[in-house]
Formats: sequence, structure tokens, C-alpha cells
Amino acid sequence: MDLGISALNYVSSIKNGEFTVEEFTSKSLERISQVDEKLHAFLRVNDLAIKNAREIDTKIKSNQNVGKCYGMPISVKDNMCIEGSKTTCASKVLENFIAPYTSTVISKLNSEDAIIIGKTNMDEFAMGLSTEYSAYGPSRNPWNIDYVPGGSSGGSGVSVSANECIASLGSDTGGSIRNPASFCSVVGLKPTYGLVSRYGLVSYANSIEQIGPMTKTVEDSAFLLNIISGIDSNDNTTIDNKNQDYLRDIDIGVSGKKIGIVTEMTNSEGLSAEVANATNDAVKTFEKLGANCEHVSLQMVPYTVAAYYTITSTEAGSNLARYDNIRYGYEFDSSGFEFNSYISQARSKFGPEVIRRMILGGFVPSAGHAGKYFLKALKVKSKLIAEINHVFEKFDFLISPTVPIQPFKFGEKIQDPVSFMMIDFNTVTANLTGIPAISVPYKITNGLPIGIQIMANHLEEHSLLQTAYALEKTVDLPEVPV
Amino acid sequence: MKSLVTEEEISNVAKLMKIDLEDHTAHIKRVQKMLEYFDILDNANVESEEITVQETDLDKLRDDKHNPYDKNLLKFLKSYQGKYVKAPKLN
Amino acid sequence: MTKIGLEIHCQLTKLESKLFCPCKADYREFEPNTNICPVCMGIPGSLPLLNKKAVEKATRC
Repeated sequence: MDLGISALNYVSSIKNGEFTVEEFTSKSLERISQVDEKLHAFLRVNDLAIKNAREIDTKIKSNQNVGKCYGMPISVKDNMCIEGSKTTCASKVLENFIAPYTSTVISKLNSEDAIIIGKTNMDEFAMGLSTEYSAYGPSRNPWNIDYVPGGSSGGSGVSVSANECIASLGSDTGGSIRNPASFCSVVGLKPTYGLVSRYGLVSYANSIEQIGPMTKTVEDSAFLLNIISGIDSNDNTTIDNKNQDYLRDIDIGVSGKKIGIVTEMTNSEGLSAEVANATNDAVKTFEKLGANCEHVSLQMVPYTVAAYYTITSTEAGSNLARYDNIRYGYEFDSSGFEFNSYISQARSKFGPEVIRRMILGGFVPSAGHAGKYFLKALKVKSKLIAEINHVFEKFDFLISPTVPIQPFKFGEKIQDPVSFMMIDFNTVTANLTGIPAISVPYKITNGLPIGIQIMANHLEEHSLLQTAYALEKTVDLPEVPV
Repeated sequence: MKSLVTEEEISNVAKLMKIDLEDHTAHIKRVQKMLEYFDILDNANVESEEITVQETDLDKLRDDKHNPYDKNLLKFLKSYQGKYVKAPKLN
Repeated sequence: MTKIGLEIHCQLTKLESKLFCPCKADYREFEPNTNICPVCMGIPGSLPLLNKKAVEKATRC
């Protein structure tokens, strides 16, 4: 029983009776107990997992209808609500928050008989790029535990990469799925804004964030996207994807496709030589597969990081205003306190990065400063959207390295806020414009992973996954060393 | 060009965002650095750009129907005693 | 010259549901904390669902 198995192969194996759901779940839990003390991917493990597994095995044995997931263990980032269970967003401020309802995406997985095996670690309130900002300690990269796994969905990336589970759901606001996917050598997809319901996802920047799959293979991401996507009456921003089957014709190839290599993302100052080499290699691979690759410029890219942080800080300041520790939060007795001072004190439990972004979020849209910061950021966003629309008239896809650098050591980037923000340089464009983007594991250099990012136009996930599949099939990566 | 954002302004914003900053300096210096970086937006030449907004069809909005939430919400929340919530006194 | 500002509030209790959720708009008969849902309670992860009729009424003037 190979824990490194893909979701699709897992389903075949279960159907063929090679092992039972309980056996696989049990082995996964054993794996978690073996490696997670070191890796810290999980904040909480589901103690009903075996019970759920047995129920699904009973269904299978008695020839009842079984959901598409056949009991596969899936982890979920701890910013998605599950009824009756803690959802902390890796913050002390929500240490005791027990969600009263279940996120739409998780309800969908549950009705397809997935087993939610645990909640994964993340940067606090999804604000970060390395999982170093978790209030419960960082997660570690299974390729080298002295290095960060990326963020903010770091725990999710680790859990899939280290074979603690088959797949994970992460969230992506500025690269938070793709970045850890690249750093941990797994597939990470940020769908078109609106394709996947955000009901139950604790809001950070609700005009651009999306939930998406983190998986071992591109096909697995297509498989999960089939389940989690679609219109939801609880989320007004969702789009009807007309029951697309993202697995259909996934192996069609890229012959004749026009691929744009984003100039600003492939020659930026912060790009490392190793990542540049891997990218050039990927371009050659695409050309060998029959695609036409050409450089294309997106002039707004150098301004996107500033625009992203300005806009998301503003939204975060608003979205996090609700955390007053009155109706939900953590243990902090209010007796003796005056109302306003209690709230300020309670909120001082936010981590340093969250505090900074809330301060920025109060500042950049304020009277006297909005013109210089917030409104200008919105204009950059508008111009970027126009550029992207124009570029997709000529090109089918855009590519770049997912992250300009390879995984770095703990503490290495966290001191300088600007170099920290620049890690997002290649990923925020897809968030600001709403287009889908995927990170495909491409190379391991010096023992550390490099992922290639592919972007497509709105709602073009079907062809995006085909292109990602084509690239993935040319790659033969070593097994994770942990 | 160095940003003209002062410590005092940032401290004031922190109060407005209802955050009690005991040790201001560390956070403030870092916020200043980030704001300095945001000055790059001035070079984007987007003054004349129209801000695109997210549009939603009127038909997509929720119909005006009363649909009571049937589950017991209060049992998951803290500070409730019966139907009342206990909160610190306002001065 | 004295300037007088008038801040006008308009309670749309004639609507069936609240502005951002399907709880009853006319709250007056209810006991505290009984006409609630995750949206109007601001539970993390809940999303506002704008009332179509409220928008129609507001944009008609």
C-alpha cells in the first residue's frame, strides 16, 4: 500500500479491493504520527477518521452508492469552517472558535465520501508566504526541514508532499496555494475567481481570494475541481461552470498552442539563477511538445505587489474588524474591563504580520492618503486587467516560474518586509485579475523544489489543466526524502 | 522619495483599528518601510485610468424571502447567557 | 450662518428579509438573539447576500 499514490489510483485500488478504506486511513494516520512532530503540517487530526472509514467500507461492501472520493483522506487548511470543530486560522485570537456551520466545499467533499483527515497549519489569517507567521509554530519543508514550505497554505503543501494524505484544500489570495505547491513540489491550482464557493472560508481579502486543490498530480486537481466548483446560493460571487468535466481530454497536449513567457516575471531582479534555468528548460520542453513560445510584456507587473498589499490590507482591516472576542475567540475573562479597552487588549493577541496589515489597511484608504495609495492600487489593478485581456487575444497561456526563488531557510526572509513581499512577485497577477493559475512541480535543484506557473484566461481551467498535464508528463522527479 | 508618514499617524491608525500597541516602535518602523515601498505606485502612470468594478446582474441577487436559520447558533458561541450576551461595560 | 445636517435613516421593515441575509426584516416581535444566522452574526467565513428588493427600491428614486 503506497501512501504516495494519486487520488485517481487510490480510487481504482479501492474499487479493485486491493485495500480497504480503513486500511489506508489507518496507514495515513500512522504516517502522520511518524512524521508530523517534525513537519508540523497539522494543527488538528480528525479522531473520527477511522469511524468514517469503516462506514464507507460498509457502504462499499453492501453495494450501496459510494461518493467519488471513496474515503480518500484529504486535509483542509485551518481557515475553512467545519461544523462542531475548531477553526483557528492559526491565530491565538480564534484559539477556541468552534464553527457553527460547514463550508460549502467541505460539504461537497463530504457528500462524495471524502474523509477530512485534519486541519492544516498556515500563516495567521492567511497573511504570509512561509508559514513562519503561524501562531502555533511553523511547518517544515519535507524536502529539507531547515527550509520553509512556503505559505500561507504551508501545512497543506507539506501534508500532500509528505504523503500524510492524498490531497488538500488550500486558499490563495496572493499565491498562497501556488507558492507552497512550488516549494513542496506538489500541484497547486488557484481557480478563476468565483468558480469555487468561499462560503465558510474565513475572509481575508474577499474580492480576490479562492479555495483550490493541492494534489500529487494534475489529474487529481482536475478530479477535485470537478467536486468543489460550481454555483452556490450562499456565495453571491460564484459562477455557473455548467458542470464542466475538467478530466475530460486532459491528455490532449499542447500542439499548436501559443504560450506567452511573461518578460517581467522571468527577468526580475529577484529571480535566482536556478529558477531561471528551470524556466528556460520548461520553455524548451513546451516547444518540443509542439507549442509556440514567445516573450510577452505585462507592464503593470512591477506594480502588482504594491497594489496587492494595498488592496488586501484594506480588505483585511475591514474583514478582521469583527474579531472582538465577545461572541467567539479565545479565553479571556472580561470582568473588570471597560468595553473599548477589552476589545483593544483582546485584539493585541493578533500576530505581528496581521497587526501590520491591519494598520496598513486603516491607513491606505484613509482620507488624505487614499488617492496616493488605495485608489492608485485600484487603477493599477484595472490597467492590469486590460493588459491581461489584450494578451489573451493573442496567447492561449502565460508561463513564468511560480516563485522567483527556491525555498529559503527559516528566518532568512522574514526580517526585511520588502524582500518578503517580493516573493509574491509572480503570483499576485492572477489574483488581481481573477484568472486561473496552476503551479506544476518541475525540478529539484540542490535538493529543493522549483515549480512552473501556467496561467489561462477566465474560466479556462479545462485547457489550463491540459497544458499543465502535458508539462507534468515530461517530468520525472525523485521521491520526497522524508 | 521618502514617505512622509509619521509614527504619530501610524499610532493613531492603530487606535482606530482598535489595536492596543504596547511596543509601537517595531511595528511602526516596519509599516513605514512597507509604505515607502508602496510609493512605487506613483511610477505606474495610472492617473487617467478608470477603476473597473465588479459587476453583478440584478437577477443574481437574493430574492426577498424570509428563510429562518433553524439551527441553534448560540450553543457554538461564547458569552451567551440564555438569549443575552455578556459584554464589558461601556464607559 | 448655521449649518444643519440631517442624517436620515430608513428602516425597510416592510421587506420580508434583512439587507444581507434571509432573517426576518421586521425584528420587533422577536426576543434578542433569536432572529439570527451566521451572516448577520458576523460569524467568520459567512458572506453577505444582498437583498434584491432593497436594491430595486433604493435605485428607483
